[in-house]
Amino acid sequence: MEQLLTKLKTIEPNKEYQERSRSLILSSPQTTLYPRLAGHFLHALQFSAAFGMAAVIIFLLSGGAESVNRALSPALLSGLDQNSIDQEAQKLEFQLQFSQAEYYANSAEKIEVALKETSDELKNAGNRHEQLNELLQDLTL
Amino acid sequence: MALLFRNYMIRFGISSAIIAAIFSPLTTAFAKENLSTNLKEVLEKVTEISTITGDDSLTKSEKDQKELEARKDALVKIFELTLLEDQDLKNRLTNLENLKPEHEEMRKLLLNVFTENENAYRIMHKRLDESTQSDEVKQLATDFKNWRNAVYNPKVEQILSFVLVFQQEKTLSIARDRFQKIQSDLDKLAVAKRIKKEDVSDLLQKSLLHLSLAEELHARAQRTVIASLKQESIADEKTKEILAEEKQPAAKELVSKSIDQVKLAYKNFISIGKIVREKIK
Repeated sequence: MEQLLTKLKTIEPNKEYQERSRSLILSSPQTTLYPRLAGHFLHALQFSAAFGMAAVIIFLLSGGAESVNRALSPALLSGLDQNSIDQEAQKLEFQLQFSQAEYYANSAEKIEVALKETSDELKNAGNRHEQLNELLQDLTL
Repeated sequence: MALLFRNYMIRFGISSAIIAAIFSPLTTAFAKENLSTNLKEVLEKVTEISTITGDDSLTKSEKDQKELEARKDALVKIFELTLLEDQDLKNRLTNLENLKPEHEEMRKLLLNVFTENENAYRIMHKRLDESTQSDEVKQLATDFKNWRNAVYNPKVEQILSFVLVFQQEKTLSIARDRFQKIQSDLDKLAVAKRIKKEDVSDLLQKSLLHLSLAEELHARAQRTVIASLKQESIADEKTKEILAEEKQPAAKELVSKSIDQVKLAYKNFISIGKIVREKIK
């Protein structure tokens, strides 16, 4: 048995086989860590693209284009919303309280006449009746 | 405990501010209603005077007595109304928000008017209480009329102009925001090829022009109000006279013209909306 093993130790490939095997190994492509990572990345990219494409198709099939259109409709675009524009336009005068300024102009005029009547100054005025009638008209408003 | 109280006060303050913001247009409407009702009461009292003087069924002493009472009542009502108007104007001034420090100073100056008015009313009310003769009441009415014309009415005009000018600032900012929102929406629609920019560019340009004019008119109104208030604080009578002689357009008129321009801008905004709706149909 020992003799057999010693014999086997001496066995080696022939020269021609050795040469052929070495050249075959050296000519085969080298696999390193980086190309492997790039491969994984490319694979993930392909998967994402496919997934994205599927999502777009499903979105379009389920009326997605319609919802884009709707999102761009004037009713949903806040700037062009007719109701908001109308409301703002109506509030313009109210916010400024011009009517209040009108009240004060009217009040100043009426109080002037009222004080003239109270002081009897109006008695001598030629248009006393007209002025008092104007006050009375205000009362009936 | 102090922290709890502080938190409570903060919450109370916030709640009050919210309630005030919600109800402020209503309180304004109520104030106006209240003033109008009081003005009517004044006019009713005044017409009573002419009814009594024209009543021939009364004896002379009866007429004199009734007339004196009617004149006194009319004056009391006029004083009350003037006090109510003062309170209303005071509220309008204090309700103005976000004033610049220099404008805040002017508001304080205008608020001082009410203390001066209170003193004048106190003196006149005392005179009225002490009046026993018709001639005294008549003279008091003349004095009050002259005081209103010389002091009160010009101050009311100044306060209203000041309030209007600073209220207009808010309106202009709302209109400017609206313009920018519309512009941004139109850009989105043009990118999505739903409209062409040329479809509305003319109207958009006109809107911008109206808003710019409104801002220019508002700036002039603001300058007028500030100039009139500064004129008040000038001690030199000669300079005052020169400034008074210079024809200044009324601030109220300028604000009114400014708001007309804002209205025209909104008219264009509405037209832009219509065109866009037509195009997108």
